[in-house]
Amino acid sequence: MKISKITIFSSLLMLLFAATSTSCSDSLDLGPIDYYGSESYWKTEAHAEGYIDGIHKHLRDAAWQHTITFGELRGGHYITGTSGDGSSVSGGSIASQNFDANNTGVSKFGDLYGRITNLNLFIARVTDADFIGEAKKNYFLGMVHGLRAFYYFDLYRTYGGVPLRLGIEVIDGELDPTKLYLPRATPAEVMTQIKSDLQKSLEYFGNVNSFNPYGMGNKVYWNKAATESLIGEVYLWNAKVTTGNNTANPDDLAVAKQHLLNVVNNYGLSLQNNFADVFDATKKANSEIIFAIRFDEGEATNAFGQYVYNIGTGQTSNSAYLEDGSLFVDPLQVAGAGSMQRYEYVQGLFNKFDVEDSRRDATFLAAYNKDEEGNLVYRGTHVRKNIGLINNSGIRVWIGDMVFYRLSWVYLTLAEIANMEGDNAKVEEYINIVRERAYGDNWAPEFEFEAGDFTANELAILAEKDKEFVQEGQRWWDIRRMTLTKGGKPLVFTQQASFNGVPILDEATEAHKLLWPIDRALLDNDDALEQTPGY
Amino acid sequence: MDKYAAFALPSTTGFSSITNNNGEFQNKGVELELSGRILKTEDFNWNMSGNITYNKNIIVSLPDNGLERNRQGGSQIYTGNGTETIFVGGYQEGQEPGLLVGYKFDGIYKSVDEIPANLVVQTGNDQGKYQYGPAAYNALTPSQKANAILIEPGDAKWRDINGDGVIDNFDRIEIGNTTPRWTGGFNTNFTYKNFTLYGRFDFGLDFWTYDNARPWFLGNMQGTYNTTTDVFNTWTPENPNAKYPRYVWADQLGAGNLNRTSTLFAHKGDYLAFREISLSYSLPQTIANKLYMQAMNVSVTGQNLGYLTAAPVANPERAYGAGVASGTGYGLPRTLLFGINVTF
Repeated sequence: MKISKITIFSSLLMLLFAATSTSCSDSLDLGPIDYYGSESYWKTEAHAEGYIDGIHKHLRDAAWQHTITFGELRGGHYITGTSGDGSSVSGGSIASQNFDANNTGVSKFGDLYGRITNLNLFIARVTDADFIGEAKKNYFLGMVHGLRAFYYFDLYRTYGGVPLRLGIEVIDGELDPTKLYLPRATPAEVMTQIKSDLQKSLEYFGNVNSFNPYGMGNKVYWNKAATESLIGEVYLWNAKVTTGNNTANPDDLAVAKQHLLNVVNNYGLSLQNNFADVFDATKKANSEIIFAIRFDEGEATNAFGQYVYNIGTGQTSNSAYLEDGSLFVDPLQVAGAGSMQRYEYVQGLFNKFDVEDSRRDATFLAAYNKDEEGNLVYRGTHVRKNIGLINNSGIRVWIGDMVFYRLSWVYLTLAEIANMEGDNAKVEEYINIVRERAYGDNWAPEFEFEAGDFTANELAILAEKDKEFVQEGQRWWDIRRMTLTKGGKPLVFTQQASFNGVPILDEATEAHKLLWPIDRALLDNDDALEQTPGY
Repeated sequence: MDKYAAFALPSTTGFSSITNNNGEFQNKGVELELSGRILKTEDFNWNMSGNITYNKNIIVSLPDNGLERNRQGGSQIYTGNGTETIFVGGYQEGQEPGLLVGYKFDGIYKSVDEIPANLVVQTGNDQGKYQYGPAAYNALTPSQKANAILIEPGDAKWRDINGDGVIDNFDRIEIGNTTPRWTGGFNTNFTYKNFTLYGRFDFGLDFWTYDNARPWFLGNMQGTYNTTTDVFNTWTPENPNAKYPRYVWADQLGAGNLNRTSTLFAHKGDYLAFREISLSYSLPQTIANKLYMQAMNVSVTGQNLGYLTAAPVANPERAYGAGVASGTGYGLPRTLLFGINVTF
């Protein structure tokens, strides 16, 4: 083969170029432009804002678990078995209180540690950052510390002592599992951490009382009022509930009261005149809301369709009757909306409402069967409290906001504090504010609450919360926290708080079930973790 | 060789796993290939070739994570020696991955007397309800009974590995490995005058597969679907020697006879696959030339025609871990091809 002169010449030329050109690494050492890696993020203010959006999106993903799974399913007011619509209900093992080492309800601590790690990362990267203005940085840090306290408070109430993960070891490059195992802290340590994060949140928020100082969204981002509400919730809990080595501390009542009064007075909040308006999907972020989780068309839908009958395979629609005797058909207009009844409340809860109470029909839609004489017999209920709206195409979309804190909750919590202080006048005042709004035009002296002794008041507050906060994640915490006598037996062990006369948990044999067990897979893979005591 | 996989981290770190070099993995085996001409006469011609491989996978080493044998995953079961337990399956140093673990189905309780009076079965019910033998059930209070299931004639008998009268998560056995030890294939080419018959087969031997779809339908676990014809082979007082436990709507809300990984639905997955069979005919030279062609060949081919297997699953080729309602996959679609090959 002949090698032409041109070939030799051009190869020599190329070699020359290669030898004289500078090292390639400068041109090759590039960061990606079309996506972010951990080295290229955390450089601008927009990065921090986007991250805050992401944190709240994660909170939305965890909202159902926080509200329904942790806050409601164990409250004794859910049915287990078949719904009125004919479908089998979900969450049966949790609602039946069937907890043991094999049945843990949720796994991996409810997947909350991923969300906590995201908060830890924000704190690690932004606390000393200079790419974001001081005012905005402090506001965001107020949000993040508040949310971390929120998550750890859920973990504390559900599991007692939990591992206190406050760092970002894996992101910093630690991959050796033997160094990553973290044992469960004691309940007292967890409570100390929660209070510390709440304090930091308040400091960072400073004087910014606005719900939306940076135009990111009104009342759907964590705000100072939410932190103060959470402080009220945490300190009231800590004043009444003893968990492990963390004994109840009655001094915390005053702190709770102080911050809840701040919420009532300092944020321009007021009760809506009409109870149904609070959850109206066209009236989001109204005057009563403190903090809610946003759902919207084209963004995300909630799962409240699981409390409603189904058109298609459900049996209510063509065989049941409404309260006025007419055929059921489809009063909530859910045809094509994908509802499927997987959760239903017990009849006892529906029966608690007076007919004059506007909350009854704003919350529930009852279905009836007809017996041989044509009399209506109760069949089941469907929850219509938060069912979104009918969109432009005529289909119902489940886009109602999930409310975490609102003003009437603050009032009833203040009522509980007043009961602990023995202040009957205040107990009456707070309960009646809420009742008066509920009864609307039907308000009459016969419906006014009159205070009695501690037990009567405590049970009355529970009854009021039962009617006011259906689907809002209160009952399980309420019956764990409230007591039959001051400093006495938690209501979860009494028959007064139960709907079928049998205490929800048997104090002699099931006291350990106040806390949830952790799953076997978690224990098998992490040497340092121990099972919740009693399982 | 290095194994590159998702390496599990403690979940309290906020991460479930990270992909990295995950230890060392070894396959050892022997492969044999043969081909030959079996028959050659003037009109007949028969060639065959085939290969067979024996392979066994062993995990040599795993990243140090403080657990015994640096175990990742796995199940804890009784050894049969009192309350002693061991971890089996998952990834463990020195062991073969792909182990199937499940309950041992020991038949059906045909009468009330056969049921141990104080038996307690703690697993199988999706709502966490325990199942009790007759005496144990009668000893419960009415509210406890509402939260419990009575074991009745027709329910499955599970082997109590440690003999303590309680069936729990540890009372399981190693069923077998889900990766074939022997794999291979062969093809044959048979020619008679102008006809050619070609067949291609492959096989996998010595492994277990699990029938996931059947228990879900048989136990009506969704609620509104129809059930399978196996329901005629379920225990009733008139049919006491049936193969399957008594039929219950929503088995996962009852005694969980079907709602658990067990030997009842585990099968040897050995299969022979009819991968391709092709019959072709080449036109005699003289006729082809008359049509101004050098050669013409017509053929009909069938592909993925089916399996010769004892396992009643749609696709024995796919390795399945167990679990209810994860399905056994769909069979590969059968294809029929018609071909004409013309040379000018």
